[in-house]
Amino acid sequence: MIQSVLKVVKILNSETHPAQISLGLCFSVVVAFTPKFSLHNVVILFLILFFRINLSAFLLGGILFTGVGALLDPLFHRIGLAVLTAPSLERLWTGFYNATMWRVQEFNNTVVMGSLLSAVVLFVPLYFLFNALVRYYRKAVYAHVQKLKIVQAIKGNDLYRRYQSLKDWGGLA
Amino acid sequence: MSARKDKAADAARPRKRSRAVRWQGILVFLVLCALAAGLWLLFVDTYAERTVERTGTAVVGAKVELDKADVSLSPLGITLLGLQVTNPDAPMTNAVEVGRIAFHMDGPNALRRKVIIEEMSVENVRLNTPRKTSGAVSGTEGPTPLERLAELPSFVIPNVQEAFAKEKADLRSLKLLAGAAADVEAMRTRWEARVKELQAAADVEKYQERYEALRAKAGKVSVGGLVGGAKDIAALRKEVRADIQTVTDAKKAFAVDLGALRKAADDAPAAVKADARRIVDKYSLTPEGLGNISRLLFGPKIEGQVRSALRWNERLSPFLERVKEKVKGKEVVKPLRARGRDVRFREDKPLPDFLARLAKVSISLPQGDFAGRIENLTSEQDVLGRPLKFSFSAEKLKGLRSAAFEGTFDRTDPAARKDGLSLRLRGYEARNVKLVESATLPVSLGEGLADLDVRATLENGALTARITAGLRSARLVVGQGEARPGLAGRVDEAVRKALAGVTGLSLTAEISGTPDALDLRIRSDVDDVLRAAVGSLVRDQLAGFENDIRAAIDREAAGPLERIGSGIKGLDAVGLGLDGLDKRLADLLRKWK
Repeated sequence: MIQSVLKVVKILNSETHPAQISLGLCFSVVVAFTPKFSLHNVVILFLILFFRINLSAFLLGGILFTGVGALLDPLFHRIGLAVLTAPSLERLWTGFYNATMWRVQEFNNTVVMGSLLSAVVLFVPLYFLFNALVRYYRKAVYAHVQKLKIVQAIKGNDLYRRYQSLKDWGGLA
Repeated sequence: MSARKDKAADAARPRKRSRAVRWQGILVFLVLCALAAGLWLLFVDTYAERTVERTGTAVVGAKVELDKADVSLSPLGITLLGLQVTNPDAPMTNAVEVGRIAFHMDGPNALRRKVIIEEMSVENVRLNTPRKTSGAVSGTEGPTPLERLAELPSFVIPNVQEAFAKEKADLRSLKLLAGAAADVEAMRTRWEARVKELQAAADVEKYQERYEALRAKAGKVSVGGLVGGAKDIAALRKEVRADIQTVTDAKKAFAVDLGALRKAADDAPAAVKADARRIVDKYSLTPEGLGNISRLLFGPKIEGQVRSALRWNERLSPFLERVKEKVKGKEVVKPLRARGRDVRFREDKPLPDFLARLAKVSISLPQGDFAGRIENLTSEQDVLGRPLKFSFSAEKLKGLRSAAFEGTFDRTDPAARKDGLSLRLRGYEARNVKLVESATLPVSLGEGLADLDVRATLENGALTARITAGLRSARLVVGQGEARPGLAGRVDEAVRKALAGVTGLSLTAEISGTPDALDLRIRSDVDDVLRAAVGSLVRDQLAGFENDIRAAIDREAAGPLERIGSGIKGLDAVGLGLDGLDKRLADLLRKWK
């Protein structure tokens, strides 16, 4: 738990561009909301590794949002069912249904469709929200946080010092 | 020279690092993919094994175990070794044990999540093998159908007290009398109140006083007094006539009520007699019952087999017909393992999610090996448009000359399910087959050579089946159960002797109806043997049994009958009250003329 908190603080305090952190968190939302063994998650993994997106933010976001995704499954099922049974989209889905790639993606499963659609729709607003939050934190909160006794205490902790020594383990970013 | 200088300068300059991409990420991605593929290859067999066990256990309702699963990628296929499916009704027994199942799948269709198998090999199938440990899973407790079958009534005659105690609650005569006895009290209270009410409304003395007053007024010498008095007297007469009509109507209603009670009391002896006859017909070996002794002898066994077959048919249903729901006109199915629902769309080339076009099966029984084939094994016959067919046969088995078993499960139209089965056994050496598990007269087939033909159709839940069997060189064994005194014991003895002499028989059974209400008609030449042997005894015992039952019902009916009798006496007084009122009102009118 302490390590997770420290990790968040560390990422926020780092020199990493806010967009890299936000993208990492947004992609983690997609992966966390949708079933893990899906074709689109392989694509996301490639994007995360290929582009300079913050890996620590992605991994941490994945852990944080997975629980939320599981709780929202009934809602995703209803959204997916509504979308997949919409008469106006029937031709599109029929086309997909007859293409092997989309069948591998399991687009016709209500939870897959509902969760993926929700994650994609939330992607852009969340990107701007996370961006704004990181900037706000760095500008307004960072100095106050540094002065907090608890932060001072944590910084003086053995565990923190050990963490500092292993800070490069955070990934490629 | 200058170009070489520029090149050297370029090489010396630090390469500009891209801020958007990291090329080494591709390498990491490839390594991760290779790692995932390696792990998949390493664990896919275990994963397949666990999947078969978990899914199978969920579907069967008892443990399904697998020794080993082997998944091959080229060609794409699976081999399952040592599959054990526990019988949910007998957790220490495997309903089916399969040595090896092997098949190859169509690769492109597998990517579309469709398992399409051209030919499947199912080897070394064994039935009802013992288990080392219990295969029960929680939630499958309760008596098995065979245990419940043992609770069926036997054909022996119970004593009067037992029969009466069992039937008492359903006796029409007792229900009729109890109802009438309860009514009589309420009726008496109601009619006594009504008579009082009528007597108060039509008070004869008051009418007389009013009449005399009007007469006195009319006697005064004046034209107006004469005319007015005559009018009033006429009105008074009209009032009394109306009261007489009300009393007459009440008498009619009373007569109906009293008639119903008297009828109940009068009908009681006939109802008691009818109930006694019904119990006798049900429990004793009447001459008509003797004609159906085959049903009592072979019925439980046949019914047990039929119900077992129907139960397996029901259990197999999810494999034969996948549950589909419709949402906004679209077909929606529950995936076996994933979350949510899969919505189906029109396919260019429709295929079921699972299809084994041909499964070649070899079954090893203690009697010998059966070979068979199953065609179109799928849970979506409506998509495939073809029914599942199976056929098995064997010859020169131990204790069986030949056997052929074939059938069809037709669910191509889910609204018109039709399953058919045909079984043909020749030269079956039956030994120690229990026919009747009665405490007093257990009957079993010691030995015999049987030929059996079964044809059955289950169409939309309605069963039609015909079983014909011939038994030669037979020896029926009638066990020495607990001896019963009197006539019942003599009947038992006569049945025992008659059955012991039976050496051959033919039997025809017709079964129809739904699984909840099976109608079983069995005819066999054993009927004639038993009719001759115990007919006279049955006729003798019939009279005594019926008289005893009637006496028992009479004793139970005596209380209600007595209450009805005293109630009727009380109501007679009510009737007299109504008659008296009617008479006095009529006398009044006569007096005023």
